[in-house]
Order: sequence, then structure tokens, then C-alpha cells
Amino acid sequence: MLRKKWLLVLAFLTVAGLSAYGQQKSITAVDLTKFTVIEKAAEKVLAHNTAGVVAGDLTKTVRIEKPTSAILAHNTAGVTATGKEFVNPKVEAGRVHWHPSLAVACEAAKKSGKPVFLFQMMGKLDDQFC
Amino acid sequence: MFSNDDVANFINKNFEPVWESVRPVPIVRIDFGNGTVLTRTLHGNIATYVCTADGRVLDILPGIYEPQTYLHGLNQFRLLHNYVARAKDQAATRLKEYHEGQIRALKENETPPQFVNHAGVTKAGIERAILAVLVPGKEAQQWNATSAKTHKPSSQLKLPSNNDIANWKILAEDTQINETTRRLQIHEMLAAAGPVQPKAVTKKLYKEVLHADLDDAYLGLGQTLFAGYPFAKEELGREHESK
Repeated sequence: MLRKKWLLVLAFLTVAGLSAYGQQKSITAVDLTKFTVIEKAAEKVLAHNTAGVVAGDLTKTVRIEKPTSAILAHNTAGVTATGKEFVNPKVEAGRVHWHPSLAVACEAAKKSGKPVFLFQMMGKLDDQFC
Repeated sequence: MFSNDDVANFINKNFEPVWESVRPVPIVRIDFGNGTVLTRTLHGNIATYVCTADGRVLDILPGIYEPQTYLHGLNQFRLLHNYVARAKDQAATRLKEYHEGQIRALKENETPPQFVNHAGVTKAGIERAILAVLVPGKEAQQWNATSAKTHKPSSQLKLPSNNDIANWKILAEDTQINETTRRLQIHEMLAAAGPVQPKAVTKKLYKEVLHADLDDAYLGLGQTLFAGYPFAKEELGREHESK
């Protein structure tokens, strides 16, 4: 339980930096799946909250992710978290005609002679936040 | 990315596409209590595989790319599939040689060998007319420069106007890392593994190339997250009591 509360505190502090930079409104989904809305916000938070970003390790690993870790590690002030169940809104998964599974895509590939395009991700492509 | 017409049309025309989730993405959501809610993901990542019809991995693009490079990579994947398929019984050997050639070039900081379509301009205009040939990097660059003059995308693949140049710069830099460091790791991984199913390399890919340990509840960030955890002793004591 303590660990869960701790995570909530850390999560709050990670994102709290946004308020200081005038980004307090909800992020709206735009379908450049990972790197426009979601990642842009992350980048801006981290750009203003971290000193000494290492050059050459970038969008998702260092400039965003590592400084995030740094924020989390160094902010320990307690904040009470009250949570409601979050429902990730469903969105269209772009204009690609996706097969429902890898097996189905492979069957289609046998007939068409085309290669299989497998897009693997954390989260779901048809979720707003993915 | 997949709402971009050029990208979506290219995928629809040349591939049998499918997406799958390897695990939920961490989501941070702050309700400020005044109607303002901030929601975002943290530490997510992606990978694009090209596979044969029997589900064997031919190659992988790691992480996020700027659209033009992504499209170029997908075109290379399309040609790779043709190049390997034509080898028939020698497909595994040809694939291994392809990966080894890429490794050699990347280690020497040279432009890696690339595929060009030798089906000819007239034939290439016909759907699925492909004769993929692997040529040295410099030769491919000349070929692509000539080809680019005659095949322009319908749009310029620009981000929306509210995205600034800094974002492009970061994305371009990330693309560069993907195309060098991470691609080298992937070629080494696939050269060693051979033509395997995606699940055989997914965890290794995410852990070693994309730095997200799928077997770890905290994606490998636990040590950092809890480095200053003030209740560690208390929690440890409770665990002992419960045993």
C-alpha cells in the first residue's frame, strides 16, 4: 500500500512541472501516435526540469525518459493522491487497414504474397493515450 | 504517424499490417480538482517488424522515426522480403548475410548496403513488380536520388504547424540513433537468432535496445524510482512480520 502511495506521489511530481510552464490543460489526442502530443509534452517538461541532458540519447530514452527518472528520484515531498478509475478513450488506429491478429495477417500474407508488417507497442494503438 | 496518408497508403499497398501490444503503457494522470486534468504516458516505446508469411522476422525498425526515413525503411523492408523470398531454400543464409553486411558497414560508420528495385521503371509502375538487388550504400544513394526525382510523395509529410523546429530536431536526432546504434544491435541480434518468430526476440529487443524490461513491473526503472523511498525499512519489517 505504501509503495502504491509512493508511486502516486512520484507520478504527481513528475507531471507537476507542467503547471509551472503553462501546460495545465488536458492533452488532446492528435493522431501522430507517439511523438507529437504525448511526447512533445514530456519533452517540454523535462527540458525545463533537468540539468545536463546528455547529447545523443534522445526522444524516448534519455531526453524524456532518463530525466523523468531523475525527477522522480529527487522529489520526495508528500502529496495526497485521490484517484478515480481512468478509462483510456478509444480512438481510430490511423488509416491503416489492420488485421486483428498476427495469425490472421500471416494467413493474408500467404494469399497476397506481401510481407507482414507487425507494429509492436506498449499500450494499445486504438487508445487515446498509448 | 498512421494517419498520414503517404504512410498509411504505403503500408496498405505493400504489407499485411497488424499491431499488437506487448504490455500496457504506464499512464500518469493528475486531476487538479478544478476541471483541469493532465494525462500522459511515460516510458512507452514501439518497434516495427517485417515478417514472412510464416511469421519469421526479417528485420526490425526500433522506436520512433521521422516519417520520410520511416517510409524509406519500410520500402527497404518490402525489398528485403522479395530478396529473401527469391532465395527459396537458401533464404535463411541470404538473410544472415544481409544482417552481417549491415553490421560490417555500421561498425565502419559507412552507409550500409541497401536494396534497389531493378524491375525497371516501366515494370516498377506495375503493382508488385519487384526485383530487389542489394547494392553498396553509395551506389544505392545515387539510385535513390534519381528515383526521388520521379517518385514524390503526395504530401510533404510535415508535422502539424503547432509543432516547432525543436521537436523536429529531436525526432531527427532520435531517428539517427535508431538508424545507427540501435539498428546495429538489431542486426547483431537477428544475425545470431536467424529467422525466428517475433516473440523469440521481443523481450530482448525491448530490454537491450529500447531499454524497457518487459519482465519488470517497473520496466527496469524500479531502482531509480525507489532510490529515495522513505518507507523501505517499515515495509521490510511488515513483510517479515507477515511471514
